[in-house]
Amino acid sequence: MDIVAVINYKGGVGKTTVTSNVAAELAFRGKKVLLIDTDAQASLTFSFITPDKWDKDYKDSMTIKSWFDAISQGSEPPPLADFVITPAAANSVVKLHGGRIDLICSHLGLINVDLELATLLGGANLNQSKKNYIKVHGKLRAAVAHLAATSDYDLVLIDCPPNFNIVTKNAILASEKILIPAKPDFLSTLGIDYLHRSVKELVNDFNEYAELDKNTEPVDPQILGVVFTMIQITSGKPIAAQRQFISQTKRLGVNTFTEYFRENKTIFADAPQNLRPVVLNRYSPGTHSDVVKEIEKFVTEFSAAL
Amino acid sequence: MIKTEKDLVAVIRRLAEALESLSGEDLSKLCDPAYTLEIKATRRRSKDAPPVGHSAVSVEQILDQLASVSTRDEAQSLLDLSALSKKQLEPIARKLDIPIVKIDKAEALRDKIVEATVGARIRSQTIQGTRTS
Repeated sequence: MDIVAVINYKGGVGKTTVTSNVAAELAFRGKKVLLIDTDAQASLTFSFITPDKWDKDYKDSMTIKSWFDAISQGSEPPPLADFVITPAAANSVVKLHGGRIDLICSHLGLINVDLELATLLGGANLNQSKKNYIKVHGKLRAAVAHLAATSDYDLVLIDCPPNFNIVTKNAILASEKILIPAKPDFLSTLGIDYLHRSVKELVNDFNEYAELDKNTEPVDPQILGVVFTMIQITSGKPIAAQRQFISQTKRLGVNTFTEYFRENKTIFADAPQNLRPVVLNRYSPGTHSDVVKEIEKFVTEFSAAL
Repeated sequence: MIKTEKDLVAVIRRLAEALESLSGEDLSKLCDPAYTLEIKATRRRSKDAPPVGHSAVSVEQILDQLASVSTRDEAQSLLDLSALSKKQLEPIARKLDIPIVKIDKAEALRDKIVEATVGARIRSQTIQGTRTS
């Protein structure tokens, strides 16, 4: 089972679009994929289930917030499997091909969980503080490892918020690999550098403190690379204004995927409302069909990189 | 800088030549106080000057040199010393995928090249905390 965090320090880069479409395409190819939405905006969650269903059936006890709440309250959280749902609309397509998309929903109140988890940090002395750090930051890692041993998933994709709070750190530490969606513009490419730095510091801290705890293995999440999103195509290639940032990122030595996600408001704007990622839709030959083909090509490249 | 009487004569002769080449309309503008007068000197391309577009090798050489400098000032000096014209800077900019706007002057292109190479590296190292000043 591969565990991949999808994150960029910059918001609005198409992270949820990438996550949902990669999961859908892989499930369409017969894979079992689990999505964990750790972004309090819950965009990924609402790409697969309606807000009213979430409110009625899942909000109170079936979200990643409920799982973290158990930790905040000082108790051992239940297995992650207890929080998994199988969204109907997307699965009605992928199950015909032997695949499955499961989801652990997010919660709009997840933003407050960080404050509660932060109260568990600290300690009477430095050693105690370090042990508490491991305990708080390594919880999701342990839970995902348990899930890997007890489930049939081929891939877990963790959709992370554009910050580096305790929940996000849990997600990064739980992952073996990191996928960075980025728009090829000035600020989004700065977000890639912020992320590199933050991941490096997090891994160093965790591994230093992990030496004190014989039950905790060191971590080494690898950055898979950057997938460029919201690409505007003219004459069969990205427009010059975007090409310069793609080239610049490559020159800085960052691994980048060749395939990309194209900008297309017509099909991406209402896809979440239909609860089916665009890659599962069939379009007549033309631009829309090309967008889907490009996503399929990216997923092939992504799978090879795992 | 004018140092001798001979230099002064040469300057006046060139001014006279420039005036001679003006159209009647332009000459009447010179007499009209509503117009201001501005003298602009443009470098003339000699027959021995390197061909427009520079060879692919020299573009690579300049990019290699830019990769080895560590400050924007060093990069600017490098491009200044090379005294590249706009036409010679354009293939370098194209190689870097920098959008070229027609109204860009050589100076603007130089700035864009510096920012896309050394500038980008400095920004990245600064944010990642790996830059040593």
